[in-house]
Amino acid sequence: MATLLAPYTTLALVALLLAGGLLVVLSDWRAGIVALLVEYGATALLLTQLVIGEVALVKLIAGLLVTVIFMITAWQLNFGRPATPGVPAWQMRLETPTALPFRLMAVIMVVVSALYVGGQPGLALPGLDSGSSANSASYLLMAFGLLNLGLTEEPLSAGFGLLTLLLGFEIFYAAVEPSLAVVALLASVELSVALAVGYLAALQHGYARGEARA
Amino acid sequence: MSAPILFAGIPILAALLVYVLVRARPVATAVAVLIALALAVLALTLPFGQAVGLLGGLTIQDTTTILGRSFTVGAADRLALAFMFSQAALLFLVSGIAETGAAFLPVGLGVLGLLAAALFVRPFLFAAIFLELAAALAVFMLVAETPGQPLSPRATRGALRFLVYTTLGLPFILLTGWLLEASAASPADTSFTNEATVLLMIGFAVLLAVAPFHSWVPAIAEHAPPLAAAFVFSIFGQAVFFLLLNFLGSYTWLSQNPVVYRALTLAGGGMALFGAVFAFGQRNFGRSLGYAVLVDAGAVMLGIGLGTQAGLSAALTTLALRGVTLPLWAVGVAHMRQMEGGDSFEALRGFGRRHPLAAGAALLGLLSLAGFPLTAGFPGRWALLSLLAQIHPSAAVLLLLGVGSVSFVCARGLSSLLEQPADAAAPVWSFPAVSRVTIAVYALGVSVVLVLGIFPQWLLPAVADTATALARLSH
Repeated sequence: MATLLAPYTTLALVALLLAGGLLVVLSDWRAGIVALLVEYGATALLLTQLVIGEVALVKLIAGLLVTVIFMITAWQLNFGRPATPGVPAWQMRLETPTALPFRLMAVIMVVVSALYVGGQPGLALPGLDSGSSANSASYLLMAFGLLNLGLTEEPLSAGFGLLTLLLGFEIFYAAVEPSLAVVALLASVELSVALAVGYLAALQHGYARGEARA
Repeated sequence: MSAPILFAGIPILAALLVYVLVRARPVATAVAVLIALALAVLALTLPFGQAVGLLGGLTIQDTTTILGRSFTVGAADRLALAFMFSQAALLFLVSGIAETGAAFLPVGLGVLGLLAAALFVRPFLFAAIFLELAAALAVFMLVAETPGQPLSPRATRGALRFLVYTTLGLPFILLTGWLLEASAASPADTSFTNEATVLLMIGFAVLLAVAPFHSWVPAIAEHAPPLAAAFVFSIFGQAVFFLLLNFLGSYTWLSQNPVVYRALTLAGGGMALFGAVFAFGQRNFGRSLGYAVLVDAGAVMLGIGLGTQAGLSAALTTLALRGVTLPLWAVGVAHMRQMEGGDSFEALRGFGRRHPLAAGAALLGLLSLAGFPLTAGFPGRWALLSLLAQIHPSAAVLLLLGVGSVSFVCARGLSSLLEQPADAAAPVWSFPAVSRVTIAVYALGVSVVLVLGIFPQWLLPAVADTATALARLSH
């Protein structure tokens, strides 16, 4: 499995870069959910190079469950958009935040910094080789996660950031603590974070929708 | 049967039962109180490794292994459990008379089970995962819709920040495990333990809401249902402190490193100052409590930072009394919010004359948390101030500043609560009809806070036992 997927690690890194960037730049939940799913898929692919396939599979399954939780929450809340008669929410135009240029600049700065740090021999994360895709991916995801958390107080978007941060941490933690029990516990953490964030989003946006109707 | 499954599993199973019973509120409350109380008693009295006659000759083991991880109930854990479960029982009891979310009882029990698991898991590093799970579950009780009142758009802020900061603390503590394994492989190289110390300190700073990681504390105090906020501040906070003490007790390289105690003293003094400065300008009972909690957490850190058994006793007294004090504040503020729609001083003008019980409870709870004389919080604060005055006088001044600042806010709140009605024809004092149960719970709370303030020796032996057990661990 590891040998079979080895040629695709750079592709996975690029996918992470684009997905993480998209999460920061766009505030649209539909894009966020797709980006999070891509992040989980790419992370699982990178993990196959570090740990046994079962661990990567657990990560992928956890990712699928997390995105399903987010999808159901977003669907119930009309993807955070005001209801428009005759237009299903998932067909609406993509929503871009007002501070788009600032967010783009921040993404570029984060990408450059993370890739630079990830390539430095003295700054390799525990269990990872400097310059490896996994090392750079871990730095990238943690940086994107923190950036996202700093830019939003909306529960679902903050949830995307929180899970991105956890994914980045888990890439290198899987290399130093590859036991299936810990991976399963961390997967349960991700699921519980997704449920908690979904609950907060449902309360916040449910209230806002109720106010609008009133 | 094993003790970890008993103390962690039963609350989680009971949470499911209480969730089913939630529509029959009095029954659910009684079940939750009884289970928490029973577990507190069992934590203190249940013998391990020998047949228990009351349980039909069943033998309770102190260790169990799940998925390759060991869960052990140590001597210090038993006392920590007794503190946590008894305080939870108190909060569950007062939830019978105060408006709180439907999720409070089941989620509270579930969180208790997860926090117990966090105390039992070995190595301790994996406790961070259980703390994170407990925090994610606690979110469900930290935001609640009150019937007839709109949910504030900012209501989710505190819960979200609590979840974010707990998650941020997780990687730091988990990584320590890898460093310790590396250190075991090359014991001569101290760089690993030094790095582990730094990571642990950062992890605990995040979990203990040391500034700048504190913003969730005032946000929760202001927006969350008061009982849920009190649960997180007392029981969750206590679990994190016990975990810190477990770390100090278990790793000699940590407990014998003077830098750790200096860092604790610095963080504690900083929190006391920070809480004092920000509490001073507050005009709201919720946020005032948030900053009082920061001062109180600073006091606990200062006590542990002394590195002596006396300091540890003072810290544990502070922690234990926080659990006695907060339910009183919570029930008073819950009634304020229910009746006046908020807890700002402005909205509560003259409230003390219309509802003296609720106003007195909220005020007394806040004063006790500050460590005001003749309240339950005072003995711990006084003991700590006496110790600090000899070793770190500047830290004692900072803590005193915290006490003074929160007390000043209480005085301002009192003046607002007692403001005379503008309408001269309105009665100066009125006593609304409240149920006997409500009066009994208020009377119990006020009596406990005042009596423990005057006769602290009733609680101190249990605290001293815990301190001794924890100190024995570290030697």
